[in-house]
Amino acid sequence: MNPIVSRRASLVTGAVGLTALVGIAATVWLGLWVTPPAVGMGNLVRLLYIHPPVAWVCYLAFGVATAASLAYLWPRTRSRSWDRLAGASAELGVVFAALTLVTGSIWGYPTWGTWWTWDARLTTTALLAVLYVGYLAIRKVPGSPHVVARRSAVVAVLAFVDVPVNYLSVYWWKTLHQTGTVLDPSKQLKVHGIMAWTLLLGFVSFTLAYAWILVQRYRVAALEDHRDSDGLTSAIAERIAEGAGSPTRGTPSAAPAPTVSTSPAAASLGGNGAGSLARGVSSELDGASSVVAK
Amino acid sequence: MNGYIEAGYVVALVGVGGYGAAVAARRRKLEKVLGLTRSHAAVEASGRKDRRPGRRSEGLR
Repeated sequence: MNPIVSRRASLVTGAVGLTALVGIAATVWLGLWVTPPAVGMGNLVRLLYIHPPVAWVCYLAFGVATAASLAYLWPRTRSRSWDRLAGASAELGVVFAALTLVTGSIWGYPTWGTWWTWDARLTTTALLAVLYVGYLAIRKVPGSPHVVARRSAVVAVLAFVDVPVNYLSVYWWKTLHQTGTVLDPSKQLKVHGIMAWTLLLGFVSFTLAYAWILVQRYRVAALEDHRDSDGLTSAIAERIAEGAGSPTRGTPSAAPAPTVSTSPAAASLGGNGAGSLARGVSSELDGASSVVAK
Repeated sequence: MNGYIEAGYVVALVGVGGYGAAVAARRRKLEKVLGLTRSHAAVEASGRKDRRPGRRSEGLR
């Protein structure tokens, strides 16, 4: 991990975030005040400028998490970066899945007369959220970084099976949730220009918001790894320095301090000085942590 | 319009905005704690001692 983000990268990320913010603000303005009510659905159509985009981002986030997990599982592309990306994207996916369920429920009550029904689309969406909450929980189960990353990746790939099931559920089963409408040519739907553009803007804006938050979340994960490896390095060095530097109680001060040379690098430094040994171990762990951080 | 539409928008905006803001704040806090901000790097590069409160004396590796 590059410890400090370059100014250029920061500018690009900032531009994406700002564009997302402006886009979402414009979507709200167009959705609430500019677009006309729909025939049949009335003003409730306004909720559809945010509900489908949020649901799309949910799919996208889980898709990215799965692709990153596959990249981690593939030996030739294995890297902690993929694991971090998978974790970050899955967490975002869970947030967007929850928002999909809540906004859909708010739309469903005045439209269907119920907040919730065990409809195939709704149920598989809830299942999707629960599966990835489980994935996030598995990431917290202790273990070596590689083991945790590998088992998490397997779970992410298995959980993704629910995404196509969720998408196709409205075609496979008789559901209260409608099938695709705007892009379905058989329905010959006539969408008012401003309505179509607002919907498109919603999709683009929420996708950009996802990209911006993903970068932030990935960076948090990388910084946490950096902090943990940094803390481990200094803790081990301190313990070795303590053991090697101060003679134990009852040991004559002239006798060499007992040291446990656990690494060829530390042994090759020679001398029993606490400083040199600590430096040797520290530099070795630095190398290891930089490999881990890649 | 009715309250449902506004509620839906509020939920979506607060959800995305709140989560995004929380993540960005966590990132800034971690960068500050670890001394990994660009301003910290500039101090390191200049060779001056970083005397700002809360900065790590050992600096960047």
